[in-house]
Amino acid sequence: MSRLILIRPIHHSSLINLETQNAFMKSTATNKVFHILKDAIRSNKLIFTDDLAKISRGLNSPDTLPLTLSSKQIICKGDPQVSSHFFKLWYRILKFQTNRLKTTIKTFYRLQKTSKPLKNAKILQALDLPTPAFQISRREVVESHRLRIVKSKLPQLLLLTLIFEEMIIPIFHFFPKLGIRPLLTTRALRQLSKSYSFEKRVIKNDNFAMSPYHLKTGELEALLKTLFSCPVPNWRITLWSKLNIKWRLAEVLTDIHQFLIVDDWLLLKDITNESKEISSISFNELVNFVLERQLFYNGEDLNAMVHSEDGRNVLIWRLICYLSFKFDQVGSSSFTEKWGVNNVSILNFPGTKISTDKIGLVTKQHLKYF
Amino acid sequence: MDQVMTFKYIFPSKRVINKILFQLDTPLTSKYLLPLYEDVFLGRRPSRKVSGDVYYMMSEVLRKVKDRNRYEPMELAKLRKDLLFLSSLNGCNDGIAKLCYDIIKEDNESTDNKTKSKDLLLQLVKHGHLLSFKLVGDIYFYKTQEFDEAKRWYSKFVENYKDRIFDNEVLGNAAENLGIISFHDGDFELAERIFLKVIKMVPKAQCVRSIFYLSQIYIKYDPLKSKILLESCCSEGFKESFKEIGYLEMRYFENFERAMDWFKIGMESFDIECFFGYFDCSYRLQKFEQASHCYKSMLKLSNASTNYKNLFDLFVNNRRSEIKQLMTM
Repeated sequence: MSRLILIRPIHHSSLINLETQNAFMKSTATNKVFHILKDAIRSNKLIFTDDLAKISRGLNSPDTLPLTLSSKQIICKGDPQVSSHFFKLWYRILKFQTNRLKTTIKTFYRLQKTSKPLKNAKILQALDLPTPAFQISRREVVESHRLRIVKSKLPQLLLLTLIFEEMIIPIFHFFPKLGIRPLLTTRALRQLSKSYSFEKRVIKNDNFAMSPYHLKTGELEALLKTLFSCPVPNWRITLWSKLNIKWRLAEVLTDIHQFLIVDDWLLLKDITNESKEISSISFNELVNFVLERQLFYNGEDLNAMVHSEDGRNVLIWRLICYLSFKFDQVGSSSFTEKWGVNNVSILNFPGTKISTDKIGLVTKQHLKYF
Repeated sequence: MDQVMTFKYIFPSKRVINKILFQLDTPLTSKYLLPLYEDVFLGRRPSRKVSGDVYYMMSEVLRKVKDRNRYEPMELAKLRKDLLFLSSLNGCNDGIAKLCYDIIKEDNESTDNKTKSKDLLLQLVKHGHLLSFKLVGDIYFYKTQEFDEAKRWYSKFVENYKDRIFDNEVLGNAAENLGIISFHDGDFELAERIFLKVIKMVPKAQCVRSIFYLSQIYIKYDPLKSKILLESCCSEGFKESFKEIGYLEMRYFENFERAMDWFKIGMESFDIECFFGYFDCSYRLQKFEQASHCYKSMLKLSNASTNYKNLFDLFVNNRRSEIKQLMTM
């Protein structure tokens, strides 16, 4: 029964306070994880880069994520003169997109052949032991999860390809929800991200300590539809909700919640690993991290932010605050002891408050605190 | 004449004996065994010479009957003991080992008998008799509770098992105990593997403990799986599983009605934690009359033992306002 007893509420005193500089210093003074991550950033142990040659292989899987720059920007970056030739530019863009489609299909085909079918509950159980039962990298976990999302979209993708043939890429551009994630353009991602923003969160974190079954069917449906990492298509969620099959919805939510814990945990372990000199995270992984955890306000263009100095810093500190809140006072094996693995009230909780009782995110004006 | 009637009345039917003989995969037939059973029961000398192995098999058949019915009349228990004794007299090593184990296990036996049995068991172990390894493990596991030693002997038994075709039940029991030791040592990965193997190998009635421990391994990470396993335990009447599944339904799945049903079954075996759960559920469902009755029963039950008393005090301390409200109604 330990899991049931050890589901803990969120204490607002333990949040990172962004109200004033002093309040911020006070709230982070005892947070060990925050200082470890801050030191890692300061000493360049943790770096964020868009250079694919420099990124850590066990941490990132950039091929399974959309690009942070548009195809036009990438082409013009390599050859600035091409932008003045209209037809040449569009020919290059089409060629680039076709290549991208080819590599994406190849990547997911390879993943389908090689990835291990492991449940998140099983991984969490193995990682929670004092000596983990098996070694698994973050890359393997996220790849298998992204493969599941792509697989769930395959039937509609095939159907659309049959109907629209070569018009499929423009259709994805204008209706991003239909497309598969790695092929999304920057505009499409910006459009798509609107449904997953911080304001859309269903759990408002004032109801403490709850398992997925504590939520009503309607709430579960709404919550699953606002989670970027949900591997089940929306029509199926609506169907389950209409038929009132609550356990299916609750199990999907449990799975997503556990995936996020595993992902966070492996990322943190990699960063805090002393034997490793540098942990480098790609820009699109950073964007995806922020998207999956709803750590952005509506209207923010994450791809543009990640390429500007200030915007990137905002995203990085959001990530750090999120991890520091979640894993503060947690040893190598006791996350379950602190929160309980199935306590969904900390799902997508940013870990920061902007005033005495208002939860909010790090913005540009808070950057001077760090 | 009276005894013949008793034998005919209490002894299982020929059909049941045939079924069990088929399960045990033995060449012996009921036609050959039934007169022997009657002879031994009535204290007559058997008309033909019978080997110790046959006597041992006869006692095993009776043990299986006991497991099937979950009940054994006194006369059959005595008959089983006599058969075991006869098998050991006729030189069956399994019979000797089991008899020694029974004597060592009993608290009422004299120390002289116990030392003799220990010597015999030791000789069998030195001789490399496989069942003795398991029985020595059992002594360490159940009697003296030295789990490291028990683990050593069980491991020896399981490793050498391939050399002899045993009843799967014996192997399953040894492996199950090995799994339980691993579980208490914190090696959940190994314990899980062992329990899964045992469940595959042995019928459900004989591996309820494995199912229960497996559900405890999954309860943190996969509560749905755990719930299914606990339901399976409950269907076999495993006492500890009622409160576990009740609390799981109440706290995690928020299904108070069903939790109440589970607690109600648990309350029949006077488990005080089931009373606590029942009280909470009925209070939550605003069935105050039932909650009040439950509280009164708890009051009576708390005097049964100091352990219950302590638990009850803790419960009362945490539910002051609820109890006060019930009292004023």
